[in-house]
Amino acid sequence: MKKNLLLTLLALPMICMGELFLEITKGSDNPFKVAIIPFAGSPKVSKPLHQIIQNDLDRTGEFSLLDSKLLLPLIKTDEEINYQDWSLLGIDYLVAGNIIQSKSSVDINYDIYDIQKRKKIRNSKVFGLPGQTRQLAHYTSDGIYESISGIKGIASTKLLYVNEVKSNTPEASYRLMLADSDGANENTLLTSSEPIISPSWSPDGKKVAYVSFETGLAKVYIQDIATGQRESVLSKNTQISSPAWSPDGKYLSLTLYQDGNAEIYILRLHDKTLTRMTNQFAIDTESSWSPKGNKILFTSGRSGSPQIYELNLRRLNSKARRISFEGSYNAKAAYLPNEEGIIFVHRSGDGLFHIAMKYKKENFIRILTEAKMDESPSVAPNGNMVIYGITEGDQSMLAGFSLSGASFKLPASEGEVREPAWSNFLR
Amino acid sequence: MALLPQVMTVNLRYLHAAFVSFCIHAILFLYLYGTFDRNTPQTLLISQPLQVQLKFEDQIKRPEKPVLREQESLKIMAPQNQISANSIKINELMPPKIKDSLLYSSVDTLLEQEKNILLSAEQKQINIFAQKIIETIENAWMKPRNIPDNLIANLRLHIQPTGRILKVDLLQSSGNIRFDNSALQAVRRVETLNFFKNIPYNLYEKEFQKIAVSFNPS
Repeated sequence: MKKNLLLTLLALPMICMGELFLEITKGSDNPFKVAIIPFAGSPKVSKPLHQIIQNDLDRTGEFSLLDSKLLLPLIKTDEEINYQDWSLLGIDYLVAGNIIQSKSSVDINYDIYDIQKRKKIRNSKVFGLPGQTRQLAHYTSDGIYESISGIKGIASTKLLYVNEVKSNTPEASYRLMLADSDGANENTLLTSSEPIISPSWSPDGKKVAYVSFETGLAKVYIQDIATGQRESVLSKNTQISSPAWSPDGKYLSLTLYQDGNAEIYILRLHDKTLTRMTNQFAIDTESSWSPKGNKILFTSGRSGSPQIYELNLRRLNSKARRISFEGSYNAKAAYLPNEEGIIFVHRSGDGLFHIAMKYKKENFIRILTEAKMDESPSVAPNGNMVIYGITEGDQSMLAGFSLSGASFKLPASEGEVREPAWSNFLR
Repeated sequence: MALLPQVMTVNLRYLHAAFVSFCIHAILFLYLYGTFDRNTPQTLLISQPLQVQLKFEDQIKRPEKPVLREQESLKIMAPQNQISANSIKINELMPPKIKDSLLYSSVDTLLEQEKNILLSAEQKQINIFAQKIIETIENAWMKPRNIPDNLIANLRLHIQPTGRILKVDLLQSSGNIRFDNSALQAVRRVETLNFFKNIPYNLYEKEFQKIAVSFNPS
């Protein structure tokens, strides 16, 4: 270590013009220990609030949370924080707060303390309405997550997914659902007797696009979440599928079957002009946009097996470039924020489907999940979590993992759940 | 009269030939004279006689060779190089053998040696504080998991004399948001380097005002 330092000190004046240059080579591997004291206030609000916040932070995989029962003897109300006691427990951060309730509002006021430094690092207030405890809790968890990790939290984002139920009335066997990022607070956006697939968020989080088979053909619809108004995007007499919004919300990439096989098209929404992006004898589908909107990823069978291709939209007549090479099946790719890599479905040598990740810089893939039939991954807007579909027994449900190592399952309340789509940041 | 045009044409041909020949010869002449060769020095013609003063060796004062006695050399050095009292003491305490060798060395080498002693003492101090900074940041850094290998992020810290980190610049991004963020967050978490009060002000000014920090776990 000292030798290294000396070497860098000797070598670097040339690079940095005499500036002192230090190299950090090790970091801590242990997640930060965070203790959350249940917020003071009526237990009706406080208890569920505490539970939701704990779960939200737990799913990120970046903290080790202390059991609140362990903390009880240390908690004294209306007193200064006793840093000595907390630091003996090895706690890095402490969160305490109180709930302010009135007839028309429920607010939360909370503080985050850095125990090692013996000081308050954040004081924050969250304003809410009665009966919106979940939302309050998610906002609070995002605040805690952000001030400790420095990354924007995704607890207050939403999920879209398709729910298939075997009900007595065939009209309601397929449902398009909207839920909180923890799977709770479900809302039905659409029910149909025919399958609904490929839900996709508009970047502002106000609309959804999806494929419905209600007319017998696959058709893409756009629906306003608040009003429920919906319209078919193209009145062509052909199958249309896998919609994906461009990051600026002005375009929709689609798969059209009008040329004899599936090809990728881009539809300008305000005047419905279609531009064909691929021209291949093989199937091209499952397009998704880069965060900057200058490229799309899609799955193509042109090499004989499904593989992932990238197409640059800013260049005229640019050719699609194959970017997946490992194995005989790679599909349903999505970019990580910052375009530093992609997340996709990969079939490994044992014939099982896993969610995998490939960084641009690396020439190998990282397999991130271990179940048998993992499908349709969707990346959270902060790039830290992925939600995907799994099949357990013959039940399909949602599961998720954070790149920091945590994993979780969101069991369906009823029937089967598949094809999740993670919204953008909604505030 | 009928002949005239013919004569004219003949004359014109001669004229052309003469002109071409003149050009060729002119170029040849200029080439031989060296006009095209830029490197040939132009010879100067001296129009006025030069005034020359001759100096004889006896008149030139040669710098005296320094005759060294210890006391004298120290007197010379002290004001010139601002050597602290400590270093002089070291000199006095030196064993006689070294003293003798010093007697015969020149002022320049002595000065250089002194400088080196001072420098290496300073360097040692810098290394100690640098090591402390590294340890503090390493303790505050949570390396994210599932990141590509060989990531490097370079930051520049602007630090106050109290050790408070005023500003952090991301000089070079690793390309990975989580990695960059973890590095920035580590520095933010450190916030104040408490041992900065032990750093002499001139050393702080010279080395610790701005520091480049590279996060390089590979």
